[in-house]
Amino acid sequence: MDPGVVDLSRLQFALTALYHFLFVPLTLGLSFMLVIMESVYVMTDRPIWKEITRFWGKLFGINFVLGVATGLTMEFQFGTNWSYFSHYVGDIFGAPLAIEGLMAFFLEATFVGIMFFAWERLSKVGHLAVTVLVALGTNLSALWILIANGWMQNPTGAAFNPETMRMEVTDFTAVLFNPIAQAKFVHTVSAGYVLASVVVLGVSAWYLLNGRFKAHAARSMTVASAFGLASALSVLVLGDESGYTLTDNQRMKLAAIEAEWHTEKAPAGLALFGIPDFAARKTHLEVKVPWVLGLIATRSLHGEVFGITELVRRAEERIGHGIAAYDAVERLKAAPADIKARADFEIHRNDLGYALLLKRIVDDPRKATPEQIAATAWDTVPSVPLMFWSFRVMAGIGFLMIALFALAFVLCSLRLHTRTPWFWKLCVAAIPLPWIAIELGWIVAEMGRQPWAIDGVLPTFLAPSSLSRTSLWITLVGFTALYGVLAVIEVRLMLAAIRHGPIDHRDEPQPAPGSLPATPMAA
Amino acid sequence: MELFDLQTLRVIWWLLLGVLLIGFALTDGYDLGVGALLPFVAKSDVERRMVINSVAPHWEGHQVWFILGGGAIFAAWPFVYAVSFSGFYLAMFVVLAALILRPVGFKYRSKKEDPAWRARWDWALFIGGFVPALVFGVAVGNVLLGIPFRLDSDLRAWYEGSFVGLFRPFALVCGLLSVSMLVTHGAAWLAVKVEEGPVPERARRIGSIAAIAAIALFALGGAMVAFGSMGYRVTGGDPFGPSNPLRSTTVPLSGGWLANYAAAPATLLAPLAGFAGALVALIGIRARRR
Repeated sequence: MDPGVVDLSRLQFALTALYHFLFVPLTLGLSFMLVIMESVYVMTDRPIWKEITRFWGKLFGINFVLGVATGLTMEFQFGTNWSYFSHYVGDIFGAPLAIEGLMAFFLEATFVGIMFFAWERLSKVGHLAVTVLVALGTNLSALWILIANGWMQNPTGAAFNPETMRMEVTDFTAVLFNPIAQAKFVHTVSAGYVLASVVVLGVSAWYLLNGRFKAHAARSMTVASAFGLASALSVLVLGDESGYTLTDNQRMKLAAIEAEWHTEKAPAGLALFGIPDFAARKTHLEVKVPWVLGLIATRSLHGEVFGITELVRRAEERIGHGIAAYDAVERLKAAPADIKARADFEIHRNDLGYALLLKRIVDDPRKATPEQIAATAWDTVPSVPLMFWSFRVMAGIGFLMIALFALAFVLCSLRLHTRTPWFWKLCVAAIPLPWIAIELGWIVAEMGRQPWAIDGVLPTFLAPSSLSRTSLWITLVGFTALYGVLAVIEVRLMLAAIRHGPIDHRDEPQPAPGSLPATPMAA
Repeated sequence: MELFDLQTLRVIWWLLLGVLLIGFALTDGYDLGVGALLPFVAKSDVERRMVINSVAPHWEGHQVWFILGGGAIFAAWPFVYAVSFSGFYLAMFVVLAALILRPVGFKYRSKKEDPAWRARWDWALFIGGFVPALVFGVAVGNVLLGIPFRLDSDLRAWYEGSFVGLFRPFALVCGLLSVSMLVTHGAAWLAVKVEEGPVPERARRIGSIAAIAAIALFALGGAMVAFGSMGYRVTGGDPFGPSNPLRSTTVPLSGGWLANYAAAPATLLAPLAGFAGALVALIGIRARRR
């Protein structure tokens, strides 16, 4: 593979995925907050709660379309840009995506139209049910896509078939109940709930600072503080470190996050600060809290957290086994009925991917020298400084969010939140933080997965389509331009809707003269 | 222990894919047609709002058929998904860009009163309807013509065609046929759904032309299949064996596609239904309600 094509493909995926995920978490969280707000309306029958629901619903709608629009790119870019990946693992990876379409998209796409168009036509409870279905649809969609992504981190329930030269499902339940996928799902949707809570909190605080829509803002703030506190705790407590001891790549990810160059005696300490130095394989100016890492990562006092050097040594061994598996596959290609080759393959099949890592420097992994193998083993280490700092900023913001929502919750419980301008300023200032943390979270998860596209199975540099650099530049520039324009339009519409506020909906039904009187306007 | 053997599963998935693609054409097809018609059947803002509102509440649900079709190909034929989507790389980008404009256009057009703002989104909706309709047809045409790629022993596909090479005469006929069918469908929808003003009349006029074009293009395409050198036949390989294209051979065979009708005469009903459907649509569109 042309390394330029690999880099451009990765850049395009990173840009389109990070961009897509600017909109998705707000959709995930706001959909449930709409459910809460509308439930209060149905239970209390107070019109102000309907105004509140419709106002946040309007922001939800502006944001939702861009999530949908950029999601199209995500589904098709596996085929367009990562065709070898699609061929190699489509059997497993494609299934959750297809189920996502069947279950989640039909639910959300069908009901999101009804949610916006049928306020006047459905009963109150009926409309609430529609809002609930939209929230379920969006969150189910996250579940299926994270099952697919979790499988890339921990490819259980599948095996390589030399007859078809691809991975095939052996146990679909293992794919579904992959512990990493479950943990990632909870972690990711909770982060989305936090983001939406911060947005509701911040925008409400901005109204209070300007003395506008005080009643709407105070009530929205109460919902956000409770929902936000529960979610911020859930981000931290549930589904965070639990997957980091399952596979060699996950262990390596943890070691890189902690810049733990050598295995420490259990229980390992947690680094608060440091300057990781890859060349010297040590961390300068390190500040460590004893015991904490061992406790978090292994949930015990005796569990060892493997260091980078030890994991590299293990990778070197696995490359050796992988070469034997690779050799067996090549023999099977020539003679599919070769029983001896089949037996050799069965012994080393789990390490086949490690031999493929060598393809970056040699065409035939069987011809690699011991030096090349040793160097390639070090390729299994992701960028340590990037992991170290991305994780620390993300986790730091996570703790800040807990503090913010704990404060908000106390103030709302004491009914002080309508009289504390210093707190309002804090809330407005906090608005960008969850976006930063969430994008860094994806960087930790996916850059930490490098050099693998599928952990231990398929190296990233083998996964792209055989495209030309020119084609990639065209689409890269095209997507950047299109996405850039859409981002500017979206932000302007959001700000205009926020300035306009919750009262007097201008997009209320204004039927075209003499036609379709019952159809409210979208256009 | 398996519920179905591989061969049965393959047939089931073929049927499922057929259902999904037909579902997409039946539901989202007329939404695309309405988008392509928007600037021509509706001139004033009021007219355009009537046209957009006739599809606005459900087009999003309809589009899921398309996403599902993509997901089904990915899951059931990873190889087809990989080779075709990367082979049609720039065409896919054009389709994606057009499809991205659609949700945004539907949602954002109403957010400002400014006529220039609305006119821009109207053209975005036109692109979002016309371009996918055209490119999907061109893609189907190319699948019938054959896609130039080679495979290495790892089953990595190397596409050897070009973007411009996709627009061969037969593929273009298929693209225009696709546009004319979806425009006929969209026009018929508007003629029924929009009850007042000049829109239904214009939809009838354009729809009639589109239906006649569809019949003519379908006949022309059929002639090209019959008399051009088109078609393939798979030889060798075990149809019950593993899904590995290197184990069978595909050879070009002039008239190979039509040979299928001789092998299974009942399939002749499909092209006949194609002509009959367009004819019935033409008569239906021209019939005036009183």
